[in-house]
Amino acid sequence: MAHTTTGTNNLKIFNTLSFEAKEELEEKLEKSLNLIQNLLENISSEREANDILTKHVSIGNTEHESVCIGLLCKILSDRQTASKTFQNLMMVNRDSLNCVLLHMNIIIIEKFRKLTDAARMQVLWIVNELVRTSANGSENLCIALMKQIVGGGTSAKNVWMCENVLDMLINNQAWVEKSISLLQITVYTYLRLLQDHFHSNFTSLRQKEANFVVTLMREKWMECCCIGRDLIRLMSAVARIPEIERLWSDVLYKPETLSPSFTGVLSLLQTRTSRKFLTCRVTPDMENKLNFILLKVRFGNHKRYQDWFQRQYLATPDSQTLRSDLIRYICGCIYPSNEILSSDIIPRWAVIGWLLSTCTSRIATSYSNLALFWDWLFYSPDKNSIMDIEPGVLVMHQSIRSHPAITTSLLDFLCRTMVEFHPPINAQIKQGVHLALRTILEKRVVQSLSPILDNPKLDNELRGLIRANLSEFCSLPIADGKPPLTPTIPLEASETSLLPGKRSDDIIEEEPMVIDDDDSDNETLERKSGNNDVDVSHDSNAIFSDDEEDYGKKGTDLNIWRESPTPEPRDINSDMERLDDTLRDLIGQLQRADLTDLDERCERMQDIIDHVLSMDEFDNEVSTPLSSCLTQLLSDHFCKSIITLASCDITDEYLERCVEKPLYVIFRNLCQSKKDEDSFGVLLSLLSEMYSIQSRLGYHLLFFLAVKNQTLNEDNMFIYESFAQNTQLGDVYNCLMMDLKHCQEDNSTMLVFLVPHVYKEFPEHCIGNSELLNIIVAVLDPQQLEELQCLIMMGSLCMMKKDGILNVLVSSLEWESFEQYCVWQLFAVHDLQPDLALPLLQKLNSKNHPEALSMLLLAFRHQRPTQEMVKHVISRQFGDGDRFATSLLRHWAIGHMKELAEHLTVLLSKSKPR
Amino acid sequence: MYKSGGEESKNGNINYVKDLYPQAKNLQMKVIVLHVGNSYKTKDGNEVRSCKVADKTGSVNLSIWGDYGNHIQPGDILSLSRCYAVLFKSCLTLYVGKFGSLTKVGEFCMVFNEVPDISDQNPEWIQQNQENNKNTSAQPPVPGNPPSAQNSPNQKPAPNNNNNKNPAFRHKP
Repeated sequence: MAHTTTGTNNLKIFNTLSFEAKEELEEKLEKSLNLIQNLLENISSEREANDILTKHVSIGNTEHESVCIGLLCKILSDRQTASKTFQNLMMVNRDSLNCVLLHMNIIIIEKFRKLTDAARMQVLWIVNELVRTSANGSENLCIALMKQIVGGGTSAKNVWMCENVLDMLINNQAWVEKSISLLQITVYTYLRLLQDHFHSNFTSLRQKEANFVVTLMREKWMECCCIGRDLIRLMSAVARIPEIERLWSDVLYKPETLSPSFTGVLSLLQTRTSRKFLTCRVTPDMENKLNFILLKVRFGNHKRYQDWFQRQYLATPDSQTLRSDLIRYICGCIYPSNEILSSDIIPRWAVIGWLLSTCTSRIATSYSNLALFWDWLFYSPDKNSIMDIEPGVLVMHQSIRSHPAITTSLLDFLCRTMVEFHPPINAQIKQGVHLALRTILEKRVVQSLSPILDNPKLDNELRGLIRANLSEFCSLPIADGKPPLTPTIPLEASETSLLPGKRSDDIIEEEPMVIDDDDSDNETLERKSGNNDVDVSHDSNAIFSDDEEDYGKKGTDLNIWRESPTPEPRDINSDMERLDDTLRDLIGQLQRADLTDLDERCERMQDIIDHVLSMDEFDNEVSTPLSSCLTQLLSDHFCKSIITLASCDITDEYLERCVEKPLYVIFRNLCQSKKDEDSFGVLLSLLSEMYSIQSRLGYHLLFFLAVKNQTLNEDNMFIYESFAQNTQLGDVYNCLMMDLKHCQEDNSTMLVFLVPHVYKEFPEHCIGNSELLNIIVAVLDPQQLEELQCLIMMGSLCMMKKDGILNVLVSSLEWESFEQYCVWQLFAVHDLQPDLALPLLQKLNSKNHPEALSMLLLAFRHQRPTQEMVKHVISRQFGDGDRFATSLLRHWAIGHMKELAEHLTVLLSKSKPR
Repeated sequence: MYKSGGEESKNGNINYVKDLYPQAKNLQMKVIVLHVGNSYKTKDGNEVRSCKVADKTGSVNLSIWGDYGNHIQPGDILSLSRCYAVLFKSCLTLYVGKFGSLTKVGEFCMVFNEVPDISDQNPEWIQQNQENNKNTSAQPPVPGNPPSAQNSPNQKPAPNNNNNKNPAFRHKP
């Protein structure tokens, strides 16, 4: 193997490994240095040296450049003769040091990381000399040097750099103040670096930095204001340093003392920070790497790059502060083109999500969050780009499923910042955030904010914060106890949400922040908005399904009050007019009966049925008005839950009592008549007519039949079949699905009671029906789950069969965690081999399907490995952090070593070449 | 915005990982280092390190002899010239030839794909290899540096659990 080192290496300024390729620049520098060494060989006096160099320079431009660069290299590599060589350089150069400055810039920007320590010292030395001579362009060298200081880096090298550059700037303060952009970058850089120097090791450095920065800012405040709002972000992070604190308080309370034209912190906060400042806190190497990741690396292939980056820059506890610099840089400076946005290149939100989720310090996390939302707080569409705020909303939106904690903590942070950041300007911050969100919706960055803001997993406190600060964007009306001050707010807000409106802001400020769960208020709210069906049902969902504590406290009570979408009370007089005298009279009696006197009402109902069955003809003329009257008069059944006990407390007697209701009188008569009798047909057509008005009747029929089946062992489900075929839906499947869906909405206990019955009677419609399974598991509580499991193991319920189970499992992967858990628990108690789930293995990854993988791990753990199992396990897609296959194989290797080895051998020898 | 890892091969004849096969010779490659394994010493005192390297078409094992291995880091972009591929313990492995070179041309900024891992065992190649071995005496992968571990009984194949796309058995030198 031949090493690639070529020629003698006089240029000792780079740490180059023997196998590293030499770049053009290095070769050029080396050649120039060799030239100088040849020219100055055997020179006796300084004068002679100058003569020879001057002579060579006058040959032409190329020679001039070679001499200048050669002298530069001599300075960088030889400290002893540096002053002398610098004098030579000053004497012979004819371009005001232009080519030296140019090459210095390249060395600092592109090669700084590779410079030896000695060469770095020389770089600082020569920059210092150039500054002292006020060479044109030397301020750019200072800026380039500052950019090389790594944020969050507390290595000796980095601190050395930080301190020496600072000394140079302090020694040349007057010169620094002359160049606005150098002044601004200096302030920005050292204000930021202060964050890294709180440790007592750095006390003197911190003091020096603070004094210098504060001096510059006080003297040139208006120039510093041009930096923009990030100046405030950085100041707030170091405001506990006394010098900064005093300045901070002047900024807030005595702005005029800083400059007569400074109107206050708000004007500064409303200035967008220019990219050049956001860029100046990431080194060229970081910049290069982040741009590569975000412009070239495909989503899914990014893991190693992130690891490498993390190892290089984010590995130490001190480096946590760098995260906010990186986030500001990504949000404000990297705008991927539309082409990239629509490709599979890793999006910005994913990289930011990674930076947030790997942050280990709480303080750094809040600064990172602030960095992410910084442009939101004072967003103005004409000053900021949508790209500045896009990552913030997408991180929240995309993390809902995989990293819910990130979404929650960001949302919490955003809401709190709106209130706490600086109370005197809360209104402006609120306006900024609202404008940002409106723009996000307008530009369709996300279709809706509902998944983020209405996420049922948010805790109460956060929900309160959201309602207090972002209610304009919640699609659900305020449902937490107190009715809105003016009943029109929810509607108003949704109408104005796309328009910048001051009005909604004002209203929001008046809204109560305190969440008050009060029964009577709940009731009022539901009554008040009762004419809006959808809202009511959502309301009650929000109240009941999520608030477990409350549920436990008053669960069943509230259950009774839950209203289901019932039609408005109707006037039935006109319908009654259309009935014959006897029927009208009977209906009147039912109408007059006391609602709570069930016996009386049941008797009246029976009278009506008897009369109907005695009629010669029962056609539309009668059935339509009669159905209308009956559904109206029995509407109390459709609003209240029939079962108000918990599943475990239900006895047969209780069930018998439950069906002693007027509505069930019709069902009883139906059951008592024979299928081929006229009465059966008459009652069926009456029921189907009623069903078309009140579809909630369906599950009541199911319930009635199930109760009779359970208590009297009547085989009666064919009645439901006939009923279903008689309805407008026309078939059992559709009818069943709709009825069970309604039942789930109204009374989940009843649904769970019905489960064994419908699965037994309609296995062809139920088993393998993932939609139905989802309806069920969505409302199961642990106790009901256990009850179903017992029924299954007793053999009285079968919810899953071999065929179609795979499809069910696949669809379940999209469901909520507990729903998935229920599915797997039910799966486990059936006599089904876990092998059935094998084909699923390749689709699962630990990030998106932890529930399924965890359950499969438990299932396979107790299995003897078969060849098929091993095959599926080892052909899983590999993902970092996914230890499913390794852990299972290890477990098997312990218990079933021989079998596992055999299977693997067979599989390996069978596998086909690619 | 970013600089690419290094210049493309000057003659443009770059070989890709996906096209490697046993006994492929005189290869020009540009790869990025994904993983650097532990070093071990051969009987004759050579230091050898197995690395996983990749380009945009797939990944492969690279065996690095000598001192280089101590300086190579994951993320380094290497330009390899005059290298060859042979089966080592049934896995296709890349070696830099006697007159070849290994040069670091950059770091980080190169796209790659880890799959296919061309060093995964390929029964067809193993079979071919056995047939060839019957006909001719076994050829050492590196001239003068026979992989003496090949027949060594104390180096059992072990399941390779880390950084392995396919959890099939893989041998690590």
